[in-house]
Amino acid sequence: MKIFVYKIITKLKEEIKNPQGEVVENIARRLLISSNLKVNTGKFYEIKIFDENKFEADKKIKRISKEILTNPLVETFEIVSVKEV
Amino acid sequence: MKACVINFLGSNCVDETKDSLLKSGFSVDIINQNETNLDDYKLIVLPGGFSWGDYVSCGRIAKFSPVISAIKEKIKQRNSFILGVCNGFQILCEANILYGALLENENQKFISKDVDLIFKDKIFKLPIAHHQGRYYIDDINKLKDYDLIKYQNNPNGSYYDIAGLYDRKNKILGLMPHPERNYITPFKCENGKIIFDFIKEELR
Amino acid sequence: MKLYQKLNISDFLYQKIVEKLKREPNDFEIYLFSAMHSEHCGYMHSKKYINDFYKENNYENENSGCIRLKDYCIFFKMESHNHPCAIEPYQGSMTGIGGIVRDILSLGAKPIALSNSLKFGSLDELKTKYYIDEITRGISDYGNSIGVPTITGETIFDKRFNNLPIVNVLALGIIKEEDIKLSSAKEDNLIVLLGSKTGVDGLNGASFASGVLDENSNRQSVQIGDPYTKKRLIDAVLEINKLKEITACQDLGASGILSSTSEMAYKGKCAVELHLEKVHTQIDSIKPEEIMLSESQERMAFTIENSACAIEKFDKIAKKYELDYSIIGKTKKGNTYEIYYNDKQLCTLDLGVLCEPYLFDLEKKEIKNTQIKINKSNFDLFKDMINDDNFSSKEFIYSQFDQEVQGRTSFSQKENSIGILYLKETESFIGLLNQTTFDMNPKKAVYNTFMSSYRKLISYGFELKGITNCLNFANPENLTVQSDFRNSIDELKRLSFLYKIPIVSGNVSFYNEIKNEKIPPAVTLGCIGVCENKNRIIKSKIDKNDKIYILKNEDEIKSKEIIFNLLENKKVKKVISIGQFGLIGSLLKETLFYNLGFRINYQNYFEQYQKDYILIADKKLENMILVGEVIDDKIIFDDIEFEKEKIKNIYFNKLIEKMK
Repeated sequence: MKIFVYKIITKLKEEIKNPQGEVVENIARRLLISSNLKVNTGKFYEIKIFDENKFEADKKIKRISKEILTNPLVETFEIVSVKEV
Repeated sequence: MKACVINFLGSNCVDETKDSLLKSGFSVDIINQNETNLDDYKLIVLPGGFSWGDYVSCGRIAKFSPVISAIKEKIKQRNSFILGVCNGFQILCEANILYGALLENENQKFISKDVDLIFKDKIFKLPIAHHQGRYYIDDINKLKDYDLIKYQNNPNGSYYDIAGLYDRKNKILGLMPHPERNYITPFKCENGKIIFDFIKEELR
Repeated sequence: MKLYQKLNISDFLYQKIVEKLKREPNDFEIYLFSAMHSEHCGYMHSKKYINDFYKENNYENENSGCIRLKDYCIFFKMESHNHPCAIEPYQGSMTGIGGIVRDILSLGAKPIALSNSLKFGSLDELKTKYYIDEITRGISDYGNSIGVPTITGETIFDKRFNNLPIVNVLALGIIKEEDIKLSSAKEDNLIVLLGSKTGVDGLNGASFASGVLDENSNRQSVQIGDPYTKKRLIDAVLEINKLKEITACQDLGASGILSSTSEMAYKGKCAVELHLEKVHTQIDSIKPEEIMLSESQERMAFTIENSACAIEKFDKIAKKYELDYSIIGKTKKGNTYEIYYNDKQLCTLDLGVLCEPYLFDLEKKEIKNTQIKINKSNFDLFKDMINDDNFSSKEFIYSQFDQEVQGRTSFSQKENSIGILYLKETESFIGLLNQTTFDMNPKKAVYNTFMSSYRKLISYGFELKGITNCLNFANPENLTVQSDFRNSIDELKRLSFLYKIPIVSGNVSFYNEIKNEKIPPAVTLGCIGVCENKNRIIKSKIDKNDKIYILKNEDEIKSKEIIFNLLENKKVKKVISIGQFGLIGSLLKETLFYNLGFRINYQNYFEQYQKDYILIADKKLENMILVGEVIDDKIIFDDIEFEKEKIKNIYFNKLIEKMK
């Protein structure tokens, strides 16, 4: 049995208005840091999974991300890293 | 006529929903998320609250409950009415029983206030109380078989001012406002009756 | 540095412990004393003074007290969460709600309402906005999620709270008297812990809240709230407490397992034996003293009959709500507190020594009457009022609280300055409000708070029946603070006896001090009124041309009868008691709500908390002084005139604008 640690981010789709992102954009503009930026926000998950091999673990993590962590109508997910520990 | 209110773990509007249905003339059972036999019920209500604490996202975890599969079967039989209020509406959307999704309010805050609603040529007030009530639909044409309940002054940034949806064909009503809060309490107006009367009419 | 010093036990108190124990405590015991003999748990500077208010045998010695309505008891209590909110306002306010709800729940009462008293700094301070946002969000996320409506509250802005917001929260619950579960344990029972895993969050919270804050105050002392678990815990406890096999119930708040198990046993005059390895914990590496002192939230303790049947019934309910539990020990004959960890004995203490800390005497000085007379024109006083942060609608804050969940709320902050609940169980109404007033003279402040609450309830048709308090003060080692505290208590005592109003529960919060800045004495009273006559509650709109009268209040009881009579016979549309901004301010808040102004000609326009009442009626009232009328778009008193629209914009938008 191996242990894999996945880091996953989920975020709102680009085309959907993201008020939290807009707040960051506005403040960056007000502080004159940058006026040319687009901010999206989302959530971060770290999942430790015990499995035979990475292929099997990948399959399960993708299902979890798709079915539990996101609503495909409005959100997308991205597995940003996998590490075997 | 028999109705049931589903008490998901974390639902918190169960009692007042039950009282409202009793006042509307239904007999009422409270069932939990693991119930799979819905044969007795003409009306199935998913009440407001914070099922599973709204953790991950509102209504997300509830959609995996056995009762949701039973509801999907029940809809196919076309002999019942499904009502989802607030968290119940969020669950119906997450479970793909109604189209669309409910996102965090535009002001990123919980909003608890009375709002004016437009439904079937009527304008009336009902209270809203939610943090994630901004209705989103990618294509408005998907709602052509739906009646819409709209906000007169959009409080949360909902697309097309949508406060609720009614799927005429399958008799499924999803609402962010709370009809059960304006019906059974002394000194409150009784606008909730408009919704419960509509349900009774549709079940006739 | 010795361990006891590291744990903030003074040399003096340590000596007292050694004297009572007749030996030096071991290290593990020092941890226990550091919590139990802290101000927060032990009430060492206040206990001698807070117990002789007017009472009516209302369970004052339990986690909260009550008033009675038919066969039901309405339990309510207010509590402070100032220290945690100062350093971690979001979690601090969440767990403040969590804590006060547990105090009601531990008696088996169903929580049906919340309210709060929030004191922030000046609205011109950036930090104030941060505190407002985070504390409001905390109360909102927690209270809304557990399904208890926040029906009323007060928010005060004052620069003396710039660095230390004061967060007092009140919870109210209902239970049939015969179903009440008390907190005194019986011998030969099992001790069961239900709810969240015990972790290292909120460690030493009690001793943290028993000292003056500084920059190094660490955030590990703050507990993390979990409203979803709390919601399940509420439902489970309401079911569990119906079991006859449950003999006592106690919540886990300050000093967690330690204080709840020791107090249950001490009250029940029996001994305790705990086996800490049995406690379900967050991490394996947690130390025994951490298990004892952890303030992890969402936990309750029970004593239950030692039988398979009892455990089975308990197990069934815990499983239904997906809650963890563990049987962590037992009660037995005796008076000792014995702790084991993997069969190693860590301590045996006399419960009396553990639960009865040393109590301090406080100095009291008589108050010199130093009245400052302000010579300002009415015009200037009006300007001062509209420039005051406190002259503002608090909708920005209360619209984030669910006010109507459970369907009992007849009126909330949306329309009234008291919250009104309908109790279907007793077919009666209760009115709830909490208030704080300030004055150079602490007795005067308590008097104004008490009397203005009393009158405000009357103005809505309610009779004051019970009070809970939250006494927020600075460092009690300071002589002025001691004296202010004792004078406040004396006045509250006097009024409670004079009007026969039981003080059913309360909380003292000392050490509200940061960087040498002391908060002013802040005595907050949570007041419950009862109305058994539905006709006395009126819901009517103020209109243009309505007449404004003054009822001279020569005798409080007689005035009450006159007002109730006017309300019952629908002779008035509105009765208004006079608050912080005097006659003009109180009248203005009511008329602006209906987008109207007024014209009056009278006197003492800005005198705070006057005892007279304002009446608004569309009929002629006998024996009242006619002083003016409701008009459309102006505010006129004497020869001074303001545009209503301008004042209305200031009132409704000030807070929203400043929060941007």
